[in-house]
Amino acid sequence: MNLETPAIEARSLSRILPGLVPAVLVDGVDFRAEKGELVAITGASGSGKSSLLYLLGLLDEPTSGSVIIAGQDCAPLSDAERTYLRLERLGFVFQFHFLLAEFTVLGNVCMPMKKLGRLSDAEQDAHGRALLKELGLQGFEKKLPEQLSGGERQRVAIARALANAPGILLADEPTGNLDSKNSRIVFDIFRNLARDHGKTIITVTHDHDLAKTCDRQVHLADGKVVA
Amino acid sequence: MKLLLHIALGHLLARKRQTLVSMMGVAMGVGFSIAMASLMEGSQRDFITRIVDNMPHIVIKDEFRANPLQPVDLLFQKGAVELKGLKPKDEIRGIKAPWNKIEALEALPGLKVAPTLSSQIFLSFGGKDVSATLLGIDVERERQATSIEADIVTEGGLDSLHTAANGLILGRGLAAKLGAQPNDTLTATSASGVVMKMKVVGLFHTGIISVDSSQSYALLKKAQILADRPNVINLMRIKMSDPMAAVDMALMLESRWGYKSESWQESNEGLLGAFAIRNAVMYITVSAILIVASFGIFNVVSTVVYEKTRDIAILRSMGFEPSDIKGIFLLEGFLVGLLGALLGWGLGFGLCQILGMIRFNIKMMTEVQGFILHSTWIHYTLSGAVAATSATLASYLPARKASRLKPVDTIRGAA
Repeated sequence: MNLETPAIEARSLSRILPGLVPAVLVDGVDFRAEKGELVAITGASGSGKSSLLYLLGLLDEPTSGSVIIAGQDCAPLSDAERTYLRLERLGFVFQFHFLLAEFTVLGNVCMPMKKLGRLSDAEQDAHGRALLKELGLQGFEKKLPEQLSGGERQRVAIARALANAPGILLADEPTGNLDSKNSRIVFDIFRNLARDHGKTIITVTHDHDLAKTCDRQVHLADGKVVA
Repeated sequence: MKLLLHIALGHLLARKRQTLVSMMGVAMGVGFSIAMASLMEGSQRDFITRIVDNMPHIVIKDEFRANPLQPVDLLFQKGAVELKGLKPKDEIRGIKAPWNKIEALEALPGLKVAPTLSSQIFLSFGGKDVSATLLGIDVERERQATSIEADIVTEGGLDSLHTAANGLILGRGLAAKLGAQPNDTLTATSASGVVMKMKVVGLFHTGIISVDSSQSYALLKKAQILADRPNVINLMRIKMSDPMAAVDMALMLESRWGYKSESWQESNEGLLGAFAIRNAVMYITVSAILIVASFGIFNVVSTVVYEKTRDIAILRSMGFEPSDIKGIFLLEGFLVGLLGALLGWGLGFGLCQILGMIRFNIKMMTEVQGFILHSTWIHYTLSGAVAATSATLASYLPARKASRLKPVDTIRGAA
């Protein structure tokens, strides 16, 4: 039994959409991920994978249960406190890259740092360049997102998610729009981040082959953890 | 704030044409409002300046506003008293003890007094009879209390009245009606039947048509002889160093001496009221222009919000608060308003320059040779502030909508 505080934990987490016939998205899920662990959440469409991820990422509020990040229960936090926690401790990568079209690659990567405001402009610039270099995007700094390929855009999105050095990276089908080669590249990056940098990475994926390369798989069906 | 400004500018620069069109809408509103305000204020100021410069600031007349109270009225002030068959006493018109009053007025700081006998006369020349107002004046006091000397277009000024036995200075319009020239001798007939030969010794031109076409000046003594009212004056025309204090001073003089004391504001009450209505109409029109421009901004910001739903979602997931998102879009509206206002300032300045160059000659109440413009920083500041404020308000609804977007809904939809 691991006695160390988990990087992120869900206790009896449920999310039910109200309505004439309430829709149960997540149903009493208990989940934990340790520091440096790469976890794949798998399941059929509509099984509640993304819903669970959004709850873990404090993007959605649970109907019941709680999310605990580095030992801190997020249930009693205000909206502003949850937002700040996302800024400081969580990084997101989605199926669609969501890069801001008007800003350069470096501008996109530096955006979370600018919001957090802990580094000077020069430090932000240097850190952004270092991240891009680490992800094989050196020389792309001044390009606009529209000038990049799908795989490159997703790597920029990963760099942006890592900008504030969050302990936890949450990825929702990050390879959903990528070919197999780029998908492997993205998962290689995830493995390196987990192994070499101690990041906790939770990724939703449909791809069983990629899921098998993760440290652990959590399988969902009808909003419940089944394996 | 810097980051929000950075993002807002990024959004606006990404759709340059749309932004420019909205800015031009604001610029047009601001530009035309500045030009219109300059035009209105210019003509108003010109008119008031002409009135203030050419007309006395206070006129004390040998009249009373109300009939004097009868002894029975004074005795039963609250009684239901009605007097019938009252016959007015024939009193000699004119201001009583005028020179004592003039002395008292001249002792007050900033006041110059021109004692005058104003009477209606007929001027005959070359078979033409024209009715005119004759002002009998004291040259030295007239010079100090009025600006008529500057309006005399012939040689000699007011002193020319001393160059002939019965000198007369005519308004240029009046001279034109009579067909008279300087040095011509006219026949003047007063209401009391006195006839006097008078020589035209000068012409004046104030630019106020009603004055130029009906007024004439003679020495006070001559006017008194012509009117058969020796030693009488019926007007005291007062010039003040502070014309805006005329209302209070007139009230004070009237309460002291009882004679009707009319300030220039009271004499021109109708016109000043018309100016106020005209200004209100102008500001309503200009506001309407700016409101229409605001709809353009509402449209732009709404479109940006619609197009940027995904960006809003990622910014929210990244850690931007709803107030940040609202701030971005409010800034966009404000920037369009501000930049539009700056463009509008340039446009307004240019329009004023062009309008200032237009020349025409229209004779209305005053003679006008072109548009008289008066721009002040207030016009620029006010129109700019209204534009920036209305633009920011116009972007409020879309900004609020943006701040309320739930990132999860967008992210699910985008997958």
